[in-house]
Amino acid sequence: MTALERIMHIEDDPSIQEVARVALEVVGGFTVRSCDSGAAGVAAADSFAPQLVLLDVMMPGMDGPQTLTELRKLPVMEGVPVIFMTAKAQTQEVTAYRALGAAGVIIKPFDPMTLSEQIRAIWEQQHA
Amino acid sequence: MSDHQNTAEYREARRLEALARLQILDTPSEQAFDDLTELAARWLDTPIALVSLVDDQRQWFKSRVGLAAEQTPRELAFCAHAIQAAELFEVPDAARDERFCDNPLVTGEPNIRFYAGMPIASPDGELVGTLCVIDRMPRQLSASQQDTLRRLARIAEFQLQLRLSLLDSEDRALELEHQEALNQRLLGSLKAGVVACDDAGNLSLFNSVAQRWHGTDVMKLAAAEWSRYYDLYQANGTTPLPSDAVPLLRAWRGEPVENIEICIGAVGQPMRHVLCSGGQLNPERGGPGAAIVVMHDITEIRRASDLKSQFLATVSHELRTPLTAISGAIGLLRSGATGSLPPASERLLRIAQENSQRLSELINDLLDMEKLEAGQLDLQLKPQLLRPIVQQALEINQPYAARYQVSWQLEPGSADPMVRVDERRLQQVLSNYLSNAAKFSHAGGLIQVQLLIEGDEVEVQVVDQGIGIAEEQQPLLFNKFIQLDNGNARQRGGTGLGLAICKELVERMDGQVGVRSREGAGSCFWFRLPLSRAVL
Repeated sequence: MTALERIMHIEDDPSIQEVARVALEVVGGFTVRSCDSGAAGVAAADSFAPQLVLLDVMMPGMDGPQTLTELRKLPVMEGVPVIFMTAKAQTQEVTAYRALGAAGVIIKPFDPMTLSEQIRAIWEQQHA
Repeated sequence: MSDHQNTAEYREARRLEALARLQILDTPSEQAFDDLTELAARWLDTPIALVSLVDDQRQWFKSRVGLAAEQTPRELAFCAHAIQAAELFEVPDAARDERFCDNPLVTGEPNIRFYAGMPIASPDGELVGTLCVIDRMPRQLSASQQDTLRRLARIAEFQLQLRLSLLDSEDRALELEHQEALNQRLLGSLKAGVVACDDAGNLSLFNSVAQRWHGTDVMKLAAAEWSRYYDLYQANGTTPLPSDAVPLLRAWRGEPVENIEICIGAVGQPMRHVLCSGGQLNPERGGPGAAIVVMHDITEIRRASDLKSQFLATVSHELRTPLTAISGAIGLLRSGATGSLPPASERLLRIAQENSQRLSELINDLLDMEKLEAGQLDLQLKPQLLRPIVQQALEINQPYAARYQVSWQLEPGSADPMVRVDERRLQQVLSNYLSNAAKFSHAGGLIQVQLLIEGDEVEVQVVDQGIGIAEEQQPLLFNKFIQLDNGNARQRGGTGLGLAICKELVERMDGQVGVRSREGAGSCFWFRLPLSRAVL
């Protein structure tokens, strides 16, 4: 199984973006590309070639599900798991995200100390 | 019978009341009574025949043959003598009878010489008057004539009864008419919609409000068609209401109808949310029957409630986003991932982290309560073993135990039954009970958790040896926004919603919650769940 190294984080809130980046880089040891909108993520996908995408749901402009649809159109995104990160995580909402093709859902507020472990667990599940 | 009841005055008073009840005095002539006097005069061959009613001051003639006067003073009345006993009273020759010989009716017009009167009794047995015949010459009735007079008097009595019944039924009809008019005025002035159906389940009434809301009046329709023709929907305003869920139909079937929310659509009107309550008009008869349902318009309330939910959801989301960043940043700093901190900074960050945690719990509780109240919290009920859930709750909440320097244990003999629950939500309930027990225990205290099977239920108990709760405050514990005023509750934090949420959640799992406590001697918070028959 390939080791997970490159994570793209698409999140419009700069504070959360920063906390997640520190958590993933410092605690998890990943290389992180932070994007502040769905469009920015789609634009950066080719050059960054993420192995996994962490995607906010509620964003102005393209929201998470729309961004996922756009990302899926890119050849570089083939087989790349996308994890939604959201405070809207009612059972039926989680079911809906999975139906859209999400590999997992991480609930906000997240624990920065265990965020990397959670992502790794989903990654391993995907590649089991 | 008392002496008083035996007196002549008392008997006369009763007789006069009975006469008044007949409502006959001073009424116009009636054919039935006129026929009787006519027949009496003809068959008994007398010039005068009367139906006489003896009032306190006079005798008044309901019917008369051969006499011009409508009434005479009572003291002159032969009939006043006749009603003293329930038998035929006959005076063969008044001129030779010392009781009547100087009576002006004897000495002058109409020159009575012969009198025979048979008393007439009211339906309650009081002798109110007579059917009498009078002649201007002395005579005596034959036995056959006496019998005729008795029989005619009996017919007069029967006629009085019949007349009274008719009057009663006329009164009742009038009363019904008034009642009906009153009902119509009431129904018309109500701000609520009222609909009703008859015993056969046919729609029988829409008041004016119901007509307006439905955009039409009562139509002759089979009950199965009501939902479609009247544009009825479920509370969500979009799903058509199945026929068997129409409140009036449910009421007609004898089902309880209390605060059932449905929506009514009508051309040119916005969808209307109404709360329906009602039932059968004669439930004691059993089976389907005539029913009535009253509907209250709650469209505005529903709109306000939806706005509140939406507002709360938005505010909560807007609060959560910065909170995620704050608690995440503090967590990273405290973890040492970005380098070590001086002890004072560490203490301050701990305070910041605890309070951001509290804020986060408050938001979660508010959202949970809102969803529970709006019926939007979906529980995933599955049969599962209870003990592993409890054990996991004890492990997850271990940091609480450490923080308040208490320990907890699951009693070794505890049962491990199957229950049908939402595991995540039951964990929430257990976490709430455990964290409360930790907060209100003394340092070093032991908290015992037990699972006891009682009948077809299991009771989960969280027993602490803490400060306990005063008896008068215990019933309030599971209410919303209750934090008991025991001096230090506020310091121990909490939203005042936790136990209210526990109650709602457990009840949604068909269980109950409760507390047993003694001030100063600890508390036992419990919840009961029905046992599941499912096999893993």
